[in-house]
Amino acid sequence: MDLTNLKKRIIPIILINNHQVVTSRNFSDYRVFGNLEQTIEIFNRRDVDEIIMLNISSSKKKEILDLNTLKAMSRNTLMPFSYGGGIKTLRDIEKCLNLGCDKVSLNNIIRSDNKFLYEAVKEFGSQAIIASLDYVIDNDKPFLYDHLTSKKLDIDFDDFIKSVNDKNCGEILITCVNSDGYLNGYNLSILKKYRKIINCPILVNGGCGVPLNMLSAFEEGADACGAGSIFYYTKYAYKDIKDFLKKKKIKIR
Amino acid sequence: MKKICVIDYGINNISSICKALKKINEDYVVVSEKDQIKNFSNIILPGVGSFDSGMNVMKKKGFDISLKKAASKGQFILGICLGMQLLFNKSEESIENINGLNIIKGIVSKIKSDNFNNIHVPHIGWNSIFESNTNDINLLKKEEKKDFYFVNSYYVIPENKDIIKYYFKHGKNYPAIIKDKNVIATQFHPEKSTNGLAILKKFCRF
Repeated sequence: MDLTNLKKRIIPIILINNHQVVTSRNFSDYRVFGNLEQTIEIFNRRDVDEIIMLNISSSKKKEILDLNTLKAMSRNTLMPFSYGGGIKTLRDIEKCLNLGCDKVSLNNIIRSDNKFLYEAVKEFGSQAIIASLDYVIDNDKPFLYDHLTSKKLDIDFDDFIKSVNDKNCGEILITCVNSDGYLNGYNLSILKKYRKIINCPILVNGGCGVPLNMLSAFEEGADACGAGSIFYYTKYAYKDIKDFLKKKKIKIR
Repeated sequence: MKKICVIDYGINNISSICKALKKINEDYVVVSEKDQIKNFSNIILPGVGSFDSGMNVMKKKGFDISLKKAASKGQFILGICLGMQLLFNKSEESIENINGLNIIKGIVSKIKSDNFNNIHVPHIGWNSIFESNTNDINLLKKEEKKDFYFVNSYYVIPENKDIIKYYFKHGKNYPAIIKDKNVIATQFHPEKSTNGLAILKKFCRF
């Protein structure tokens, strides 16, 4: 018997670089896909489950938050959406939420400031906070990755993901740098390993190329699959993916 | 003449609800002072964040008293998400052990996670709701989609079970919509989807 009717989510992750929508491979090799407003409009029309926007230029240039991007997002859409990129203070989070974001995604700041995640959860509630962890596989082991310096970090991934879970973040977004942009499937062994010890929703990201990749991730306990390139560069439309997963008895909206 | 207001008590994200009301062509006023709400027939109480931060601001601004008065005078109140939970007496989430609005008798408790069965908490995403056998409100047509957007770790336990009109299931069954006379509340966010707009529209017509 099914114990929950909660649906598995398929989340387009929109990467923004200098006000353009881009895709990447291994977190580099950026390719411009198009204009932000149009991209949002397309996903809006497809009635997607949710959207996550990650503004990589605003975190890289250490600019303040790009509020214009957020305004563009929130203007015409009812769908739930999250924003990440350049968030450095609790007031930044407040600004995002006031502009209509349902959640914010935190990445650099939770590594550089040990207390930040705890404080953000305390002030805004865990449901508003996504902890975003990028990792790179080296010798079959995951290492945290810093996209600002493009370097693997000497922080134990195991300890870090557990500490993030203990601080009661709402969800954890794990992105595999090695798989990013190659359309060869998610890293399932990492998902499988951490699914057992993480009790909040896990969003898996990096590498989705065919609907079957999402099926595999859902079967390993992912709550949501994030993806970019599959929507832009393959024949699979959002609805095709959903139809496929429904046929495979995955609970989909 | 229906007059609708949305309570802005500082910590709640009201932009989504305002956008939704615009979409269904309902006139509304955003109020941030406790005395303003007496002029409205339909009051919307949104809310995100924690129970304590919500109640502390409500009390500081005096909304706890004016909302209670509005409820007893028969003005329609719609609580959404944390706005639903604030209507109750107490919440397990409260670290400072503060009382809620005491408009509906009952408490707020935490959803239990169960990794083995894929029950993760917070409960985030689209879940379908289903009718209780005491459902006497016609909020959703049979053919309408029953999936709504939820973002919650806690759920309400009303003393009077008859006020539960719809449930959602996440490990166990939990109240999704309650209605106690002129007070209605949803655990999910009706402002986040087209089928939810139909519920908002009906509330605006009460």
